[in-house]
Amino acid sequence: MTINSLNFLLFFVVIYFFYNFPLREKTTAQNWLLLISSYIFYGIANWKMIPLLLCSTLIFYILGILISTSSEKKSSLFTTTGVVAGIGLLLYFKYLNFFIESFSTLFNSIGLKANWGTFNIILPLGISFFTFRLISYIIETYRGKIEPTRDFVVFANYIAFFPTIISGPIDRPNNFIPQLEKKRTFNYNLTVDGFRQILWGMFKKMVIADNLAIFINNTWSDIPNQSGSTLIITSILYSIQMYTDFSGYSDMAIGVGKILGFRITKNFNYPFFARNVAEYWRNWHISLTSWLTDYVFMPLNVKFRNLGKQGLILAIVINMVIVGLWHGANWTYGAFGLYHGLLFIPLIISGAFFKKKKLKTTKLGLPTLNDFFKILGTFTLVTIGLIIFRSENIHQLNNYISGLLNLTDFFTTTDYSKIKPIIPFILIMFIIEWRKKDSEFALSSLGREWHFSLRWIMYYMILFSIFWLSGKEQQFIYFQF
Amino acid sequence: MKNLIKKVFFFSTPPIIALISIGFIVDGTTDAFYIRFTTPKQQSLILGTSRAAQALQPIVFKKVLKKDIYNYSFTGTQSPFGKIYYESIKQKHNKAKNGIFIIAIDPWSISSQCENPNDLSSFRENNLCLDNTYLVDIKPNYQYLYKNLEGKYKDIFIPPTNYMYLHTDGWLEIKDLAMDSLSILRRTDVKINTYRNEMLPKSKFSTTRLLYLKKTVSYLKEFGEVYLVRIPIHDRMMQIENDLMPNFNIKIKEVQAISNGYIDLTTRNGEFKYLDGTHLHQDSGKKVSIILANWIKNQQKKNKY
Repeated sequence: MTINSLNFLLFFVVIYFFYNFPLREKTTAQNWLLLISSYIFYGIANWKMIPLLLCSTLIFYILGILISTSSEKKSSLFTTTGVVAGIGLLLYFKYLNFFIESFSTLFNSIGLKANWGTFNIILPLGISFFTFRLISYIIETYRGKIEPTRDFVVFANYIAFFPTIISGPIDRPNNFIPQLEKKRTFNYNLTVDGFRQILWGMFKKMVIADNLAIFINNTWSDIPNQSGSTLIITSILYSIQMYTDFSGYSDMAIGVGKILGFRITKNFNYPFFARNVAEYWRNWHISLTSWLTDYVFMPLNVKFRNLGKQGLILAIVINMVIVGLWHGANWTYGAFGLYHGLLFIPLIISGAFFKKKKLKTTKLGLPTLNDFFKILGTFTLVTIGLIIFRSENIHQLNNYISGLLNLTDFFTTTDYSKIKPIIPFILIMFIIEWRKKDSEFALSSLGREWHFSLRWIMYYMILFSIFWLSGKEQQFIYFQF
Repeated sequence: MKNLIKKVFFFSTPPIIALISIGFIVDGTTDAFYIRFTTPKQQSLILGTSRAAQALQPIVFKKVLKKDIYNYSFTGTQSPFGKIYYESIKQKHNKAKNGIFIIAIDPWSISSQCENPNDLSSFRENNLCLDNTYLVDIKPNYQYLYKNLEGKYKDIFIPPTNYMYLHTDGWLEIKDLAMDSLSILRRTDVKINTYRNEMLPKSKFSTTRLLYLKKTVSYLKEFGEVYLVRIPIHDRMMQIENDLMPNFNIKIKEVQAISNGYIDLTTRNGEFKYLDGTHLHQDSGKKVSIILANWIKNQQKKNKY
């Protein structure tokens, strides 16, 4: 059941009815309803993984209490246990076979026979997201930044909240748990804002991402027969697909949260208007990057502080490799992280890494020429990175890059008829996002000053474009992570 | 809250009305299947793949046999014999006695292209319209529209092709296709190449499909007469089918035995005109329908005495 499906709409309408009518302002009952709904939602995707989710939630709930009630030494031990257990979960389900295969290949390549079999492990949906929530809870409790909740239903909701369990955003306990504990009163503006955000997310996902997916998948499935120009266009479109797919999902998840009275962590802040890679990563998948900044980069930075700039570079490169590998058990993800880590080096050396200047616009509302070229340059670097990201293996990456640089038949004609109608919508999206880049999401403030009838016409037009242009439903890219 | 409900109501009313009215706009030009899910349950049925869908014309059978026989054939992908087609046929049938059932058979409809040809879970028709549409007799059929027109809703307003029309009796009419010899040859070459190079190497006889063909015949026999037919095809296609299943007529012997008769019209392949080597032109389809209807009439007479 995807968040943009009719099934989800019906599921949500039922929840919303009970949430706001019989259970209105009854926090405990509402939390029970949310928890049951979340487990149903998760169970529909794969019911066999419910025991894993429930057991890990229970264990971390107990650990949280133990950490807060034990002596410093013991609580440190419990924290380590929790972190190791969380990472262990990820390692087992996501990376075990990858390591077995990699070491087997390595040993065989140096002449040692190693025919290790892999395990038949099913990757639980959303594991990368909910384990990060579990770990975050343990660490924040240990650091004393939160009081562990005694209410299991609240904690279980924090881990399994249905709009965010599968693809995030990865909310922090200090943001989300208090919202679950306090009485939630109906907030008209927040609810309407939620509807707007869902609409914008659906537009990005269903009109742009799903339509681009077909063209992009076709190109990637037949790289040797594509011209250089097609591969360049495909890589640009893939960057746009990635953004619209993932930020579209995040918008819908945050929107659903708002309708239920929750403020979920923002996940994107117009990353394609970033002027360098550091800025890009501050605005892309914010909940993941900030998580890793707090729990990986900062401790590493402290550890390497004696090394000066080299220490900072080392911490960032390690951090970025982890960002890459978080996406999955594949060396191309590691290479993607390393590539981005290396892109930070000139920024650190030049000092641009430390500067956080606000984006300025000209009188016409356009970026300055200097900023425009910086934005374009960053987009190009990100696009190259996403070629690494999209490649299934190094061989495919090599094929893609070779094809891209192959100048013979560079302009061989390709059939763009399927994506041509989408191009104006991509431009419209970027124009709106640019104009409204100071808002939480582009549609939140668009047309606020208009007469309501004009605003409604705009919403109807978006709805109509979703109906008219929505491509064949494609799975959200981040579901696989 | 009241304000929100009021606004949601007023905002959503126009799109909901628009969506509901779409159900009344959809017609035989929208796609090749929808209409078959909107007509009432039927006493008599024509079953098979696209060959039967395009060739066997209910209007002809009505004239000769004085019976409405509804064409509930789809395509080789949607409706080869198997659990899904079997269940859908049961849904579409009105359980009335004295029906006539014409089942078009060919080697493809009892073959699979998956590694294990008997593995139901990997059959090609899974998750397609006969699998995902349980309601086969309501108009408008929003279940079908939602599950099968996803990503192509604009086809409702702008039909993707203008040479296809699905009649309310289930016959899929193909019209206005260029019928000069060069166009026919071009289409035939494409079709033959696809079947020879892509489908033939992957296709394997499936005992599960044959079993479901048997089950279908047995089930329908309880409600009337069941006739099997092999529809004519181009000689080049015939060669491919012989390569796939040289002993086809032997394979279906058991099914033939429980039916009311089997007519193999591929012995008369040369007498007809084809659109692309596998589908009959509508004039030839009419001829085949007349031959078949008269043969059934004779069979009925024979069975009477």
